[in-house]
Amino acid sequence: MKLNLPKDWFIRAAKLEGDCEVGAGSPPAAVQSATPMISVFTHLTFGRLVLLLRRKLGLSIDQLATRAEAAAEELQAIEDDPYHEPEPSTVYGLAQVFGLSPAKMMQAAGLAVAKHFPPDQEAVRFATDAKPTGPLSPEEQHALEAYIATLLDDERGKR
Amino acid sequence: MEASAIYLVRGADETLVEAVLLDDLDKLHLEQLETTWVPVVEQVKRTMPRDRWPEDWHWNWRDKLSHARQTFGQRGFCIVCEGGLQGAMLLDLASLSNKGTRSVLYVEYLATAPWNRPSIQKPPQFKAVGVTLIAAAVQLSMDEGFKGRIGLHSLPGARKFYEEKCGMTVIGPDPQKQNLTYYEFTSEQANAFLAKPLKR
Amino acid sequence: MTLNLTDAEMDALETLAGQKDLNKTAIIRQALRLYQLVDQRMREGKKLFIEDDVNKVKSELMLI
Repeated sequence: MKLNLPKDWFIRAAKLEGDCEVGAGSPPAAVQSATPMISVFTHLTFGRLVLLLRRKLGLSIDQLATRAEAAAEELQAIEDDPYHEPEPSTVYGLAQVFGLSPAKMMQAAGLAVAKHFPPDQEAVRFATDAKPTGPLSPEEQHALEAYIATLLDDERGKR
Repeated sequence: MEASAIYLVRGADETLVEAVLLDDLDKLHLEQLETTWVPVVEQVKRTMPRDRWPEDWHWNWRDKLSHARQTFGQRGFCIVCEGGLQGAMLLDLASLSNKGTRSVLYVEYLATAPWNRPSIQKPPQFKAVGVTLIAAAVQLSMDEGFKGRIGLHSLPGARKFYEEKCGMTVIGPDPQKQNLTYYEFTSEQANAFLAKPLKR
Repeated sequence: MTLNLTDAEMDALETLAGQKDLNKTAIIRQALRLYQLVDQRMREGKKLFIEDDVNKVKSELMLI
């Protein structure tokens, strides 16, 4: 479909819009999904973390599942499905394999609440950079290290 | 996917900025929506009382789009500018309106990026995002034989826009949608909107 | 593509087109969208019901 409108239409349209909100759709009081959007981003970011750490170790899903004593299907869901709620035991097992603090991994998975855990610039950038297989590119390595640094930053609570 | 050259207005200095209207909402756009819009909404929710939260904070675009991609009864649109997703819309071509006899194209979801909303950021980063999406809905309605007619349930905060600025016909509160007010463009109103946005 | 309709079907098509203020092609296309939508939902295991709002009676629409 093509939209062909002259430039001045948009100038008039912006003036028309003014300070008005523009939105249409489902009622605000009805929660349409059991998983609010706030945790979609958390799951997406956690999935990326698991994916990149797995690739960094050169492991397949099955190999990681064996080491973490978790189900391969669940690990696949963690990496692929931002609506999947990870099992705490799986997150604990992954923390052991990756050498990260279980508490921090639980926070990253959205299973525990940190005092201050807003998705900052590092998390946003991290969540958008991921490929499914192969060794990490320098950009992915950098994004992973930067995100893990924010995850482990003990000073976060003081920000 | 077809792209149309459009313009947005930069809120900071009122200058025109080139942008693109796309007649699709694909996986990359969805990911962009989830990774750039959601953090801002989340921040608003952390810092504002509940009655100041964006009215669409709970929307599940991924779920809606998963159905849309399996049938051609639904069409997604989005606006991209300076590399960012500025607005998104999902249209339903298959709904049977029970509010009037004439078929309309139904706007199922329409939202602008949180930084484009005056309630979240003043001035908004870009203006004319929402009104351009409405224009896209009208154009698709014309292309598909609905003669420009569209229908939508307005979020409470947007009623002034549809009623006073666009001049849409107020059909009334809909008990099936928690009494959200339902609006429609007649064919005449839609044609006038595209020719020259109505101003009252 | 040529569409072969009976006189009764053509009458119905024209009536619907008049009522909905759509041309006949648009009616056919919308019918196709609805068919696809219902078919998709049923393949997902969902059911289509028609409800009598006055008497609150719900009957299942069986599609074969």
